[in-house]
Amino acid sequence: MYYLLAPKQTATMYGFGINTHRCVRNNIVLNEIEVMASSALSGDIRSRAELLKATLYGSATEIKDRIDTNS
Amino acid sequence: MKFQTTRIRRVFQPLMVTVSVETSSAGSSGLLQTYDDVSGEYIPDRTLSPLVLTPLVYAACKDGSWENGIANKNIANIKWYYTEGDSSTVKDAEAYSLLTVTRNQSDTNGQAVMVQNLPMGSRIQLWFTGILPDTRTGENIVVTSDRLILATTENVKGELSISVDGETNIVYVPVLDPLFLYEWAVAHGKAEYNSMVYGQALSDPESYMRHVPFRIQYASETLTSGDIFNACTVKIQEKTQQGGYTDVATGGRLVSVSKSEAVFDLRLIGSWSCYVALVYDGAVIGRVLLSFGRKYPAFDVRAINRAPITDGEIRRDRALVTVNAGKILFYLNYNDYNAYIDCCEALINLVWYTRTQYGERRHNCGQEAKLDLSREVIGKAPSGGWVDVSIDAEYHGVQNIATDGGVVLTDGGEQLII
Repeated sequence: MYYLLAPKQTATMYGFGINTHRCVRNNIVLNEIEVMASSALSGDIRSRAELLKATLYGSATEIKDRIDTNS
Repeated sequence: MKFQTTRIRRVFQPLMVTVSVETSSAGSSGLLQTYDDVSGEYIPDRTLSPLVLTPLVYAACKDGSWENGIANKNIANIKWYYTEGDSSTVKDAEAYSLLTVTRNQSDTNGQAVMVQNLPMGSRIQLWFTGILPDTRTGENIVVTSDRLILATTENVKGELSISVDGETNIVYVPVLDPLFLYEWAVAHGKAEYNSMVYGQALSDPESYMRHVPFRIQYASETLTSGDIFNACTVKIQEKTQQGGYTDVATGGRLVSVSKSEAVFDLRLIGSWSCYVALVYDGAVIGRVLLSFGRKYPAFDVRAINRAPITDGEIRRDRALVTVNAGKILFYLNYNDYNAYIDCCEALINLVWYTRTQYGERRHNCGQEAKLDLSREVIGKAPSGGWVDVSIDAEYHGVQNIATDGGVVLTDGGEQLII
């Protein structure tokens, strides 16, 4: 499953709440299910990540490594 | 010259309270997880995507003595509880560190955040209770939500697998069900049968006849024919108290099951969970959990005959029921927004009461009341000439199949009587 690290500003613009997601500095963590379910976005997961200006990670392990390095 | 004085008194009508839980993590799929035993990952992983559950308590009163709306901020002593598996032992979710709960004076009062992944194969039931103080009467109303089912499903590895195409957490909202309302209206002579309207209602995604499509895959290929596909069967199963599985028979909650879909009758289902099991060569290859629940939007009831009363009158009153079911105000009594006429009795049990200074009297059930005021001691004195008309209203719950001494009743054909 993909995970995204998206800037808070763009994520909130597309309807993702800061209070209901894990925050890492100025970013929030989104998962593939909710991103693909969002009607505010379109396209495949990569296109949606671009709209969100987010970094895409291929698995939970990958993003956890990234978060651990940066937190 | 004598004057008849009508005395108006303040009598607080009871609060109508609706309780539900909003899931705000990855849609409803946040309640269910799967575990990939190769990568060792949970999908979704709650340490990254926490499950956020927000109580939604709506309190309303028709006499204007209460500020109608979300009453979360007024709820005191909110506690979340859970049970594990089939155990009846109730545990405090905070005390066992399953959740962290926010308590504040806003609409998010009682919000629970879960960052734990449940071990594979485990299942818990989770709910909250709280106290809503009725500041008008000094009474405390205990509010309790329905139980949510959280689970991590088994993911038997192999090339052959089954998945559900769509929601695995199925929520039924009877108010939005055009099929149920249309059938009720036809059965009660309030609408003419029309095959086109019936067909539209039957295929409506909110109808009680809920189709859950499956997909059987071999590696990454979806199977619709061939030897492997032919050797597969799909069963709907329930967990037993001993921890095993038992097949759910068709008829009743499960209408039918095939290799491509299962059909459920949501009129007969409240809070329930079952598994879609893929069987190959006599062995279960994989199971997918389906979870069922209901949602009852808040509603408002008013008696719409406000004419003055006289002694001995046969008075006819009528209830106006409005339901706020989301984006539109759904008038159940009138033909606005393509709603069906006079359907509120199908969904809501209405009981009429009158109250005078000498006591309260229960009258008939239904949308219309025929109140024989000659049976009431209304009183002639200026202080006694009043009658309060009130309506007790609540949603009908889960329906049952009609039986007589164990014999299932039908309409003479194959249709069950509900």
